[in-house]
Amino acid sequence: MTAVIETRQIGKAYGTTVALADLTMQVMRGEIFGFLGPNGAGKTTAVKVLLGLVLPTQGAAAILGKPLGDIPTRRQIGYLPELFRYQEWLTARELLNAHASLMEVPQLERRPQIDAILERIGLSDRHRDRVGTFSKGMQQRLGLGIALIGQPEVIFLDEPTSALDPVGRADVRALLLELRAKGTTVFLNSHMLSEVESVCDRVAVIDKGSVVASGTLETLLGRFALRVRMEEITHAIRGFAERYDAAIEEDAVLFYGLDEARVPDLIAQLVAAGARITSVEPIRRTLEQRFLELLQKPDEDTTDRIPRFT
Amino acid sequence: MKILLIASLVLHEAMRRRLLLIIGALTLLLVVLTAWGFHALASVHDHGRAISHFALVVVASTLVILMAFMFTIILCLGAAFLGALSTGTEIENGTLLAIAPRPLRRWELLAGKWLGNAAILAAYAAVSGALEVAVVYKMTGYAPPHPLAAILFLIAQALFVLTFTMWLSIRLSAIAAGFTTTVLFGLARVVGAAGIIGQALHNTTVTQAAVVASLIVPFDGLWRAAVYQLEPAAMIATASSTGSGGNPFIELYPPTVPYLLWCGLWFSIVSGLAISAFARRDL
Ligand SMILES: Nc1ncnc2c1ncn2[C@@H]1O[C@H](COP(=O)(O)OP(=O)(O)OP(=O)(O)O)[C@@H](O)[C@H]1O
Ligand SMILES: [Mg+2]
Repeated sequence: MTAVIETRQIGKAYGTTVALADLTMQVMRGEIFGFLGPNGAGKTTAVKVLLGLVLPTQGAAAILGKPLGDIPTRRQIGYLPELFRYQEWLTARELLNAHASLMEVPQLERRPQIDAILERIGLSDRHRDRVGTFSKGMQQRLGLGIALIGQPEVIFLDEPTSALDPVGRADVRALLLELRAKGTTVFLNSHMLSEVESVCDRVAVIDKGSVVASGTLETLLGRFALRVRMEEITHAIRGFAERYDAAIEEDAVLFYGLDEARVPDLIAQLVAAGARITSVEPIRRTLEQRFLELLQKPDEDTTDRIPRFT
Repeated sequence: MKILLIASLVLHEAMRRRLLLIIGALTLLLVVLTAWGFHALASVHDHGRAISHFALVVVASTLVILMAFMFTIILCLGAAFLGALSTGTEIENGTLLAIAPRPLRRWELLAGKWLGNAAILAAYAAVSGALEVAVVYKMTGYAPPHPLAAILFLIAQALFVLTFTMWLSIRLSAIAAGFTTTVLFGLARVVGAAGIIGQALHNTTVTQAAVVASLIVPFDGLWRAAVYQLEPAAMIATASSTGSGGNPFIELYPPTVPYLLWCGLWFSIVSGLAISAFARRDL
């Protein structure tokens, strides 16, 4: 597998505001890469740097093996901005046409390609209307269409479903899967964790401008977790749980990252420690839970590296 | 190619937003008013006798210069509007986000914007100017000596204003850029007049300050160059013999070669500043 996007310690400071601290990551060819983080984490800034819209204040990056800003490479890049806005005085078709010529789509292919895109984004019957007369969601669909023009190899989507209704969201999910089937690499900024969970091959979670966790969903979420409910969480159980990657709930202990084969031993040990177990539920952590944990309780070693002033 | 595409989008926008229509309608209105005014002038009778040809030329040439003065203000304000709005607003509202990552260089994007706006201004000046000159000639038989050169100087001045505002609109907000250029444009006029008064009064400090200011913002010199092209020889002769000057409507000398060279250099510098500012601008 080759890296389509590669960044090395990219940083961006606006005056004293650090939007991006030191972003190092790789996105592989053909994968759907989810880029997650809370508001203001630097997701949009990262995408803008990669697209050459914003100049980084440190670091370097490459897309398709070429340094940022390489003009021929841009022929292979599609983009839907977070705060999308298009020439409202053009019709949908004229706008797509303008982008097709900017992307050097051969004259003969333009019409069929634009027709197919209009069909795909569900705007075929509105292609003669001015963009300014479109609803927000329709404009976002149009923006998706613009990102698809010229069949780019890499597509950056910055919160592509922020203005879409549930049907539109499902549409985007289907579109992402189609793109993956065609081998397109997709860089997806999103808050919709369920969306990311259902389509992304790998994710990175960023906070305050740097990556706090990354990897496949499986490694990030842990393969397996077990919720063991008991009558009372005693001191002994608490101590036991602390030796594992476990969370203590009101009447249960949640064990993460377990190997299923270890379950019988674990239960036996808990019983030996005096637990009166009422139920044992195998569960998977959702991305949302993991996301909240990552942001609320940074990993121990991260906490150590950040000096705390109180 | 990409430059032309961007320029055509600018023209397309001007058309869709009815700018071209409005400009056309206003030009027509102005032409009709001029025709009416000059017709009235040609049929003025002095105690029953038609006014002499010489008097007619004096009045007509003065009026043509006054009209050109009004027109150059319209043109330059228009240039400040277009320059501030086209790029500045699109930076501010995010319209450029989808365009800038396309396979074109930032300078091509800027050049396309410039070209589209320059085409609007130049076409407006050329059509309006030609119509006005034609109407005056038809009604009075008077034609200024070098109308084409005058229009070219007026266009050059408008393009300078356009370029300058575009540069500012990359650094400042659109509204601040437009306002700044408008103020500087007005100041340039005053400074130009002050320079001539300074010369007349043999006040070197005033003259030198005026010269420096007019080099930094060389709009006024181009207006004066245009005026010179509109003056009949008799008018220049009369003005220099009576020592009149110090007003923006009379110019005794043609533009000097060093001044024109400086204008070329100024234009290159401001364009270069705009291009480099835009290349580094975060969108
Ligand atoms: N032009 C700018 N000037 C100053 N600060 C900026 C600018 N753009 C972004 N920032 C700051 O950079 C940080 C990261 O912003 P960014 O837009 O990248 O966040 P994000 O992760 O996309 O957030 P969201 O989920 O809300 O879209 C924020 O603190 C923001 O205030
Ligand atoms: Mg964002």
